[in-house]
Amino acid sequence: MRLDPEVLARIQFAFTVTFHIIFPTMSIGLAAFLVIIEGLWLKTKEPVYLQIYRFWMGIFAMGFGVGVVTGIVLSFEFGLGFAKFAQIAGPAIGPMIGLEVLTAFFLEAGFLGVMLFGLHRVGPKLHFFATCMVALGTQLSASWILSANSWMQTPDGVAIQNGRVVVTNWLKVVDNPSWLLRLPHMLMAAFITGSFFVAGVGAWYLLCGKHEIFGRRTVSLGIGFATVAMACQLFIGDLLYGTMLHYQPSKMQAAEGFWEENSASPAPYNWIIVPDQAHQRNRFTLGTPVLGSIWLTHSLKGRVAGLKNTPRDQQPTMSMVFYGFHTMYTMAILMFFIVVVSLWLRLQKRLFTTRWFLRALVIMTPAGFIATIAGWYTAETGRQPWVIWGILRTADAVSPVPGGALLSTLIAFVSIYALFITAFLVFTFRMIRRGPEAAPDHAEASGSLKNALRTQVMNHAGAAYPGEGG
Amino acid sequence: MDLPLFSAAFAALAIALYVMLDGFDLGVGALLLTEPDENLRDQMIDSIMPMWDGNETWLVMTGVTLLAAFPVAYGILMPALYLPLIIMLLSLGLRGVSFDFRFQAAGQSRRFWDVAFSLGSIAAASMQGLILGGLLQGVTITGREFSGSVFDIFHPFPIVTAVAVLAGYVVLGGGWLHLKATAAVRRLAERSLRRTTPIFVALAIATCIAAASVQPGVKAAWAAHPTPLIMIVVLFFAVSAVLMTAIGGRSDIRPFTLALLQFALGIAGTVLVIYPDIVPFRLTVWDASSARLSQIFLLTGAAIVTPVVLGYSAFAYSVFRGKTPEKGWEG
Amino acid sequence: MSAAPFSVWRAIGVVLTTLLGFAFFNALIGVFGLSAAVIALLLFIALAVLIFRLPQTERARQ
Repeated sequence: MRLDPEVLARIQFAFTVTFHIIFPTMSIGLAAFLVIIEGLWLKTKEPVYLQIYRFWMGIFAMGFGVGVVTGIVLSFEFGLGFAKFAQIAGPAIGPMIGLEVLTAFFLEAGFLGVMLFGLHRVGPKLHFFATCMVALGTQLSASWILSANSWMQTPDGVAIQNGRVVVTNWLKVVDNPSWLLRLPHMLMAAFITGSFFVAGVGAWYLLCGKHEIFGRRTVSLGIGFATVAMACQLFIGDLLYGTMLHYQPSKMQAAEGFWEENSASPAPYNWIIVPDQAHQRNRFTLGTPVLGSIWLTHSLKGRVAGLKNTPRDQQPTMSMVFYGFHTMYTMAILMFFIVVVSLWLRLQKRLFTTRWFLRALVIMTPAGFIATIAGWYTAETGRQPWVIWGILRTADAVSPVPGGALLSTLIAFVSIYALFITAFLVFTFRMIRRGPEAAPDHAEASGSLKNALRTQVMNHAGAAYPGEGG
Repeated sequence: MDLPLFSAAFAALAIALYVMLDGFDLGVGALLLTEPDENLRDQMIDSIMPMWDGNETWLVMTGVTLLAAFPVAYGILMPALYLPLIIMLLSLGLRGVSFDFRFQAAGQSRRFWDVAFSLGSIAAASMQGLILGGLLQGVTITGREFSGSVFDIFHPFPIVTAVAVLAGYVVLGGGWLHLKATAAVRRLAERSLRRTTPIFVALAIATCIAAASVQPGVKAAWAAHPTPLIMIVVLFFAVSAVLMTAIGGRSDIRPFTLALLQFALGIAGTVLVIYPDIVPFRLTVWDASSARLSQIFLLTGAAIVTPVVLGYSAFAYSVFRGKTPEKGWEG
Repeated sequence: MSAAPFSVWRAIGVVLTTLLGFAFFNALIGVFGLSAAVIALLLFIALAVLIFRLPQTERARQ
């Protein structure tokens, strides 16, 4: 049995990075949420905010841990699976990821300890500062890695000398053509993911008739942030679409499911296709008439460019790009619908008592995760066959590692990651079932920075660490 | 300005910090199952919980520095060290998630995560030692590519270094607990230090001797600068002896600082032996480095940000200084 | 569904909300041009903030 190293390396990387992206997305979203909650608590002193903070901090902590360890894997996996890519792209993306480690990872890690375990050791203002630093760390991290990935999509600022990439202009490498749109797109995705997660859990409590105040506040805040974020995301998404149409036309051609150089006029919007890449056509399409021209060309009669505009040896696989994009887009439509309905219900003062809506929120709890993963699939499968657009093909980037080693380590990854996600889900569901505990009956010690640096070990029987058994 | 040397120095700093910092928390993890009482195990883990993430980040820094400044070396070493690296990454992963997951679990389930934590720590430590041995043994390259087998690393010498590094981490872990723990756990630390320090010293010496016979480059290094290397060995012995006397003494921190010193000496010796290679005994730093602008970007960032990082990391350590509270961080 | 009986006003409200939502969606994704998209974004956010700030005097379920 011949095991193709390229295919196995791609599957392995795809698996580990898909798994990983779930957790930083959640971390970015929840960290920002926790900053707002802790800020509101400091300002209003309402006990519900401390309750919300402690509850979501527990889930955040677990997710953050899984994100860190699966992320460490990735920093080595560039080389493990794609050594040639690493050797060629290292000079460009290496320093960027190096700065990510220096400015973001250390920041998160340094203040995470204070944030999670320092509630009794530092004053509230310093603790709030720690929460802010962790959130800032997650966003800086996103910035750098998006810059690195965007450089792979729309490379700039380098010259190829003797088959090696030499950086000629760092500003152009970091601020490459797609970075400044892909970054806010990802950040919004994270905020939306976090918001729907929070709102979904709150809605669950309202449906069960438990933790009313907690449920109402988190539904209100969650869906409120989601509303603003969704509007921004649609706006940014469309701008990004236009940019990628310019720099990676084959990706958008594949994403919309058209084959012919010019589609019919007016063009339908394809919802379901069965593509046949070998014969460069669709065996089946299901679409809404005219909507394609409206949405894709912003006119009533425009024609859409199909994948045949790209030479065959440079075409990505349409099925993957199409369904990645359409999953994301469909989720976006659903999420926008939900937030519009939420505005309507809020106006009617029926937001917390409309049971079908609360049920919808519960179902939509993972919506952001699905959309984010689908979006990344669009980005990465749409970039194929390139790993660095126009410079290096994925097939030429693979490590000199035998297929057998790749397969056995792939199996190891799948098994161990399966354990991680199972445990994470079991424990998260358990925490949700247990619910937020009553807020502590004493105010946190207030102190100056000087007081904060003095170790205080408080041996009173305080509230249990969120999630600790019993 | 010799950029590759500066980049190599930064990489050396990163790995030195990693080994010394994550060394002690992996060491604590390795010791975990020698403590049958669950509450005491909680204390052991509490002592490292706020700092493990920051410690481990220096590992990423090392890997990424290689990627940025020595991509040729990165591209050779990753496939060459494929199997131990993946085992290490999965073990670190298992250990990392066990921190949080064990808190959520109770009874049998918690014991499962404690075992995962400990085995993960032991496996990660051993793999790191194996990697050290594999590097000293030398990897097979053709031009600028790895051309050996992923199984080359499973030879006697790297296995010796694997155990040596594990023993060293257990000493570091014992030193950390000696500093942070009270009562029963402190006594565990003292027992552990008394037993493992001699083992570590013996293995470290065995490694030095074996390295010279396995790798002609090491022998050449000894011949080229015997004085500093002999001094390092002598100092290592001296520090180890003082460590033994400091166990259980009045100073909580002395065994720990001496263990750190042992590692610092070991790292210094290793650097001296492989200088100026980045792929030991195969490629020099100048052969493997990336172009100027890449190194300038990284080094400028590193120069500005590293002091800040060290600053707030020290702050984070100071927030949790003193003995780890027996009832945990929530009071 | 809440317990209120079918109401013409509510039905009109639902239709209007759906149409408005659809209009905003298309505006935001640029169907009517960039300036329309920007205006739609600002308008939508302003609307959301306004509605958010209304006092939430919703009664609990009976």
